[in-house]
Amino acid sequence: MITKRDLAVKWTAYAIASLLLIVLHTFFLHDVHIWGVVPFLPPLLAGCIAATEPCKSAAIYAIFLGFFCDITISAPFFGLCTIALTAGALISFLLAAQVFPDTLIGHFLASASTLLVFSFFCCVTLLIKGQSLWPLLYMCLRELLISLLLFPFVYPVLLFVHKRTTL
Amino acid sequence: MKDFLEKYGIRFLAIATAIAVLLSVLSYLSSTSLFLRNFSGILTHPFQSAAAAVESWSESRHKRYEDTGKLQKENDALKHQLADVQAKLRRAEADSEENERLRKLLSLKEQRRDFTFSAARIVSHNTTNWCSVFTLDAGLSEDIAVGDCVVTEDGYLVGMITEVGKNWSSITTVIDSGTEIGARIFRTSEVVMAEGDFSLMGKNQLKISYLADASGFVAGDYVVTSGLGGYYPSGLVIGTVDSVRTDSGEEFYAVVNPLADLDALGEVFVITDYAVVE
Repeated sequence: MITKRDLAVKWTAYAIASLLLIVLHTFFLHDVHIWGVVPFLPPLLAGCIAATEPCKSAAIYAIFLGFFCDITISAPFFGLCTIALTAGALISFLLAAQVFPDTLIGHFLASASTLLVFSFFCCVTLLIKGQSLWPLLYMCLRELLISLLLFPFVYPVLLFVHKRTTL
Repeated sequence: MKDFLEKYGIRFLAIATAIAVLLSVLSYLSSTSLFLRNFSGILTHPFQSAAAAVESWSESRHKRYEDTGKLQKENDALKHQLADVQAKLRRAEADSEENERLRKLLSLKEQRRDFTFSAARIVSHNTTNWCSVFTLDAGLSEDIAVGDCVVTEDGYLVGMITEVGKNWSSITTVIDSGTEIGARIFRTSEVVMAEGDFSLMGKNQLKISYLADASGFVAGDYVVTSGLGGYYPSGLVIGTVDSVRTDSGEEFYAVVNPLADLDALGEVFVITDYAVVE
């Protein structure tokens, strides 16, 4: 039986771990361009947690993370991160629960799904603003591949928190 | 599982959508940034400034140990450039005197541009791959407002202020896909619209679209702000024409290289007030 205290400790630990990863990413990788793109961390965080935690908790985490991103970074429109990360987390949770295996590969694929959903929202926004489709899709592909390079650094941290705080 | 997602998934998406819409509406209605965004900007400001300072220090250390041979060559080239510029300056001084005499003769009003600048440091470059936005360490406290133009020390246009907080502000650069600037080709005085394009953003370029024909453009032509509409001062240099291309064969667009080196920018100047008499 998980008490309210356990839940509070768990999500405080997740919040601290996420903040730490975001700070490290901002300090050390914000200016590192690989294949013309900067690896983007927040969807990976939401995806990893959606793959390991219950749907309700993962969605609430994604809403908070999205809101945090919206007030700290510049996206194609204000509010995009909240909606894109929540949708991404829900889709990843569904795929992780029904399609992907409950293994490292499955969690990796779930994280990739969140990244894809986030890129999808950015693409649609810029398509509506009149940009061409192919450059947007090319950016999606590059951002997905380059951001997934962060998975080996993000996943162990979040898995550690999950294992230490889950009975 | 499906029931759970139907029951809660839609609910969470609705909550997220409501938050997103609320944020967008509040951001649209507010002339400055939202309270929370402003607060987060104030909180992150010292960390971003510290990171920018460390980065600047490490770059300066790196540059110190650069190949001296390369620096020697660069020095020689710069000496030649300086000699050329000095010759041009002497001619310009003579032209200026002649211009003044002719103005007096024709009783013409003197053209002048008075700018009020506020210096600022870029503390954060692009945070996502989908837009080109920088964060500055100066904001409302330095009289910076949304819509102000930002230029380099050489006067080349970097972009416009799109968000401003107490001690920070955001510039949307000239290459961002949402940028549209009234521009003029300096050589021909043709008025055009310079705009960001997502496919060119990665190459640090922007474009001039809807050209009926390509004949009026020459590679190297200077593109400056037109100043029409009174939103921006006229005559700020945006960049030079790189090439003229076509997508469909009927409509042309010119690709422009901004003269501001957006990747290497450290310090910029915000035009907080201006008066142009022409």
